[in-house]
Amino acid sequence: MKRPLIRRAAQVCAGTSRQRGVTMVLVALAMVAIIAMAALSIDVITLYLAKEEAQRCADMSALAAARVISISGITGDPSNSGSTGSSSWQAICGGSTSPASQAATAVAMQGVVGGTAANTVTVTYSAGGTSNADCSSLSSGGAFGVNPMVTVRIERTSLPNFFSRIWGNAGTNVSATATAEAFNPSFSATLGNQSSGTIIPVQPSCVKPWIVPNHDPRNPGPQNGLYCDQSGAGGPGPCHTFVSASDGSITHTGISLNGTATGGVIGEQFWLVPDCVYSGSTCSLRPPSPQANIAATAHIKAPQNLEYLPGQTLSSSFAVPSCPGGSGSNYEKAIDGCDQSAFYQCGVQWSASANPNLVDLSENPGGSGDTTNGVQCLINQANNSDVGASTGQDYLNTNGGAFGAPGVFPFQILEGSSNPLVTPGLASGSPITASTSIVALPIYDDSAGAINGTGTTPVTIVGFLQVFINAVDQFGNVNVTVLNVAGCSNGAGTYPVSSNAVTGTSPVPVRLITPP
Amino acid sequence: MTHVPYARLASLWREERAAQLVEFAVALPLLMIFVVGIFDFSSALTLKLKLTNLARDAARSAAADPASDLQSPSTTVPASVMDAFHLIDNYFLDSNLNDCGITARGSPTNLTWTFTATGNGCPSGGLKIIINRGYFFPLSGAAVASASCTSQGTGSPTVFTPVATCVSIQYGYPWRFGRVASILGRSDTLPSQIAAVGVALNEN
Repeated sequence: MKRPLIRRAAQVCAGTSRQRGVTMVLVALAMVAIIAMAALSIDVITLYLAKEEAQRCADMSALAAARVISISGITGDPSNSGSTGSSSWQAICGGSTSPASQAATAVAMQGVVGGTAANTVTVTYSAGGTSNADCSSLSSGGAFGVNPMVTVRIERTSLPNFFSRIWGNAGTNVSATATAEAFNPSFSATLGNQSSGTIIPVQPSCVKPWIVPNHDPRNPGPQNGLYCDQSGAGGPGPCHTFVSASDGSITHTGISLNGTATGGVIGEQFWLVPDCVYSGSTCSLRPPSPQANIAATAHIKAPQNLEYLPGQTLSSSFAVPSCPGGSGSNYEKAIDGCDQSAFYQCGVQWSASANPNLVDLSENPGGSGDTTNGVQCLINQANNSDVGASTGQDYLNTNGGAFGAPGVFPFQILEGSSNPLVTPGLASGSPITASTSIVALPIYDDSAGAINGTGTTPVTIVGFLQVFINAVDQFGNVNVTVLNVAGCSNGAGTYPVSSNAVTGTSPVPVRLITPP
Repeated sequence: MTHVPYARLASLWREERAAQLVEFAVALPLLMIFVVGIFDFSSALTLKLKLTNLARDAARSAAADPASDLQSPSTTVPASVMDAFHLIDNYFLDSNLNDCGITARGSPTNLTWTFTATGNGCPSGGLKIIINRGYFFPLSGAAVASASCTSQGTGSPTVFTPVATCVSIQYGYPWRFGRVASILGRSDTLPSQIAAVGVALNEN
């Protein structure tokens, strides 16, 4: 039997004097290994942490830029038409001083990477394989017009290291890259980053239950004192559509200033008016329906206007309790809060079975006061009797023009005096990036069939409008300005519609993607 | 197997062996410092990594929610804040971190909700979650978001003031390193909490 190793070693060393100090030598030797381990575990995890922090900063930054692009409406101006007097793309994402790039940089600088903010933030815009810091140099009419992509690269130099210094390793750098896109479904079958002959629909959340017909009340413009859809000699005839029901493309692309529609559908201003007679607890349709530009009555605002139908709301949970004083109906809650159970399936063909999108005439949106109460609560509007004198809500910068008509591009949202941000110190009137006044509403294909006189009617949703609510009056008329239009066809048109919708908070959702 | 004779045991106490023990006693604290240090700092940084991801995921989830629930903040915690809170709490529970029995109760200061807990035998320092749904900062020249998620001034906005959601998570971390370092006569104070902050631009 062999003796235990330790004892043999002890015997070998025993009796000599050379073992003195051997522990020190061993420890000193082991220290090299230990420091190497420390370098591995602590320095490397510091780097991993910094890398992760840089990645997260880049993600948030890219999303912020995409969101600024999404809300700006330039996806409604795919050809960069210059209808606002200058290049709209340039105004949003034209280089490092543009709003989108500045927002990306500001958000990136909010996060720490290895203890301090990142050193460099590089924002580039890309489409079809080319990229540039100035998006207006990308080809107009190309993929950038509908699916603008933004890439943010974050770099942090001279990260501190602790142990690997002994090998002369000083000042490590980390970098991270993230790409986000704003996805407008219009044209997505043939144009965009992943066009494959299939329309990819969107499914925004918190859509307001105001189903509007596919009639653009300002296109074509008035002739001989008559607006489109109004009968009479010399008029412009029927209104054009917002979006094409066959391929989902936006009918009247471009951006307009001052609430007109001269440059395109983005920025035009009109009234949403109830398609129900004012009296009664349920909705009696206002014949002939649906249409735009109906004549003014005691309860209907004058053209340009567009009739809306109440959408069905289910008795399920809502994000927010109704404001005090309201009736608290589900319809009202869906307006002042977020109807989380409502999914408007864009591009799904009208059918008697399994179509979740219903017009529900058991609600009278004007006469019940529910629309007025809901909107007032949503946008913090104090006075509903005189829209021009209404106070409290966020408003668009009109540059001295008429109320609700955006006078500058990029459209500026100014903070209203009742915005909850005023109390924490954001002065009233400041331009801000988000507002509860921005809402989405479904557009339905009114050519598919008439709405039943009572009860519910399934409808085909062909797209969404994203509008800014300027004000509401006491009869349920809502003054809106169009910020975005998204179309996804009626599901029976030229191109098939994918069953996988892009979800998001807006009809032009933003998302992180792997660049194609 | 032969037994160790007493003579050998006694020989351990000969001069040279004793010297080795003394040397070892000198080297031991150094070794301890390194071993405990590696262990301690690695787990602290791993925790920081987790909290960083968590804070930014939570900020993103709240920022993507509508802001209509913030119109009249009251004692009811708004849905978007609950979203962020549950995301954090569920992660703690799923990954066997002690959530200190934290609950989403409390009234806001303006648009900032602060939740704290120290129960359930959680690490000293406890768990603190701060969610500011109306976090704003100047478009240029802003400092990094602080652990308190306090909004910064607006500067002089020419373009706009970004409105974002800031989520800060502060979680107690029991350092072992300090005790070991005190053997060498050091009294370093290490932060009692690991903090991580995430900021996401509000989408709605």
